Amino acid sequence: MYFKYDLKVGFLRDLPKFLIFAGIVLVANISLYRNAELFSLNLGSLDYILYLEKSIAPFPQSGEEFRFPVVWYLIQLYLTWIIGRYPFSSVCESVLIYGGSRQRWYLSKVTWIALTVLTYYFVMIITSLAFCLVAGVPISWEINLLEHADEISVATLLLPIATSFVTCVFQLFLMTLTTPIISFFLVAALSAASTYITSPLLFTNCSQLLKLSAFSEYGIGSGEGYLTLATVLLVSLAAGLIIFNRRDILKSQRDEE
Amino acid sequence: MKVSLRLELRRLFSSKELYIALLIGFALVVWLFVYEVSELSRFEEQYALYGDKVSGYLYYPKTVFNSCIELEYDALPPILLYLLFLIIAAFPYASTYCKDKKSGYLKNLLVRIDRRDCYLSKYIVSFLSGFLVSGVILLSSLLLTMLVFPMLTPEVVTQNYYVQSDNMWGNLFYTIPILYTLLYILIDMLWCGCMATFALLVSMFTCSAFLAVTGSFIAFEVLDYVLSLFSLSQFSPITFLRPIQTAGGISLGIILTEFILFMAASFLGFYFLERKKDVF
Repeated sequence: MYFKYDLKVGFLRDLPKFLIFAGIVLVANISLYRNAELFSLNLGSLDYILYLEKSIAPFPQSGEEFRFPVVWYLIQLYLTWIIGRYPFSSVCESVLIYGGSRQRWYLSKVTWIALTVLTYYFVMIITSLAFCLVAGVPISWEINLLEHADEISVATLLLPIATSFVTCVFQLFLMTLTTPIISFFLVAALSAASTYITSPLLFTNCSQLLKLSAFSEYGIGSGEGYLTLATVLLVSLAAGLIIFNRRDILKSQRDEE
Repeated sequence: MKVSLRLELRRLFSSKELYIALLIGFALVVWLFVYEVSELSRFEEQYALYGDKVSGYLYYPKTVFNSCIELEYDALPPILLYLLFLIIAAFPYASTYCKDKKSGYLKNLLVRIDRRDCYLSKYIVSFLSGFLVSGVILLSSLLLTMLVFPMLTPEVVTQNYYVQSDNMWGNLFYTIPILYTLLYILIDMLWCGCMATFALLVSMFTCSAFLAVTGSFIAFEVLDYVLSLFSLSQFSPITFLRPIQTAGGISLGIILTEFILFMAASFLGFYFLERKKDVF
C-alpha cells in the first residue's frame, strides 16, 4: 500500500524534476564536447558518462591545486534535494494507522529511494548517450578521459550508484533524527567535505571516480568502499527503523508547523 | 507596522532555527581557528629547525588576513561556509511564511493586522535574519582570529594571500586590509539578507518549508555552474561572496546591480503579488 502511494506521489509526480536533471547533464556534456574540440581529445561515450562522476584527485596527496568539482557536486546535490523533499512531507498519524506498520512505511521509503536513484542514473546515462549520438561521438567502452592502471571492473564503475543509494538512505535516517532541511544541509556538507578530504569514513568519496584506487595512486580501494557502504547502509537502516518506531509523530508535526 | 514588526522579530529571536544556524557557523569558525593555531605552531617548529628555507618560500608570519574564515583560502571550513551560506542565511526565518500558510496562522494574523504591514514586516525581518546571521558568524571569526594572530599588513611578494592586487579593492587589501575585510563582510551581510528574502519569493509557490529554504540554494548552484561554463563566474553570487575573489573581473558594479535586481525581484514578488493573493 505504501509503495504504491510512493510510486504515485513521490515518483511519478516528480518526473519533471528529472527533466531539469537531464538539462544539467546536457550542459555538462556540451562543456566537455567543447573542451574535447579545443584540446583535440579523442573521447568516447563512456568518457562522457564518467566525466560526470570523476570529481577531483585526492587532495593534497595528488599535488594538484584544489579546484572544487562543481559538476560532481551539483549532481549529488540535486539528488539529495529530490530525496529530501518527499519522505516526510506526508507522514502523519492517519497515514501510519491506515498503513498498519511503521516498519513498512520506512522500508517503502527505502525502496522508493532505490527506484529514484536508479532512475536518476538511468536519466544521466541515457541523456549522455543521446548527446553522443547527436554530436557524433563514438559509442564505445574505452576510457580515454581518465588515467587508470589496470582494466576497470564493473564493480568500480557501479560504486557511484551504490554510494548515491547509501547516501540517500543515510539522509533518510538523518531526516528521522532531525528535519529534512537539516539533513539536506548535513549531506550537502558531507559531500563538500569529501571533495577535500579523502577517507573511507567520508563515504561520499566512493562516488568520486578519481578518489578510487583504480584511477588514483592515493585513492580508496573498491573493496574498502563497498565495505564502508555496507556498514553505513546497515547502521542507517537499523538506527532509522528504531528511531522512527519510537518517534512521536504528533510532536514532530507540531514542530514542523 | 510597529506591532507586526515587533511580533516577527520576537518570532525570529525565539526560533530555534536561528540558534542552529549560528551554532553551525560558530562550529565552522572554531574548527578553522583550531586548525590555524595548530598549523601556526607546526610552522613555527619547522622555522626553528630550518630558518628561512622552510617550505621553500619567503617566511612571513601568518596574519589575521589569511587566517580568518573570510580570507583563508586553503582550508575546508571556509569552503563549507561559503558554499552553504545561502542555506544558513535562509534557514532561521525564510520558512516561516510557508509554515504560516500551512498551519493557518497567516489567516489569524491577517484578520488582526493590516496586510501591508504584515507582508512588509515579514520581508524586513527575513532580510534582517540573513544579514544578522552572516554578520555574527563572519565578525566572530575575525575577532577570534585577532586574539592570536597579528594584524600585519599583507605583502604581495610572500604569496601568502589569495587576493591579487588587480582584484576589486586589491590595493585597499594590501594597504588597509582591515577596511577591505570589513567592507567585504558588509557585502556578504547584505547579500545573505538578500538571499533570505529570495527564499521568501520561492515560498510564494510552495507550502513546503524544505523547498522554500533549499530551492533558492539549488537555483543559485545551477546558476553558478552555468555561468562558470561560459567563464562568467564573476556574475555568480556564490563566487563573488568569497572575499578572496576566486574569479577575476569581480566589481562593485556587478555586486550592487545584482543585489538591487534580486532585492527588487523578491520585493515585487512577495510584497505586491503575494500580498494580493486570497489566503482565506
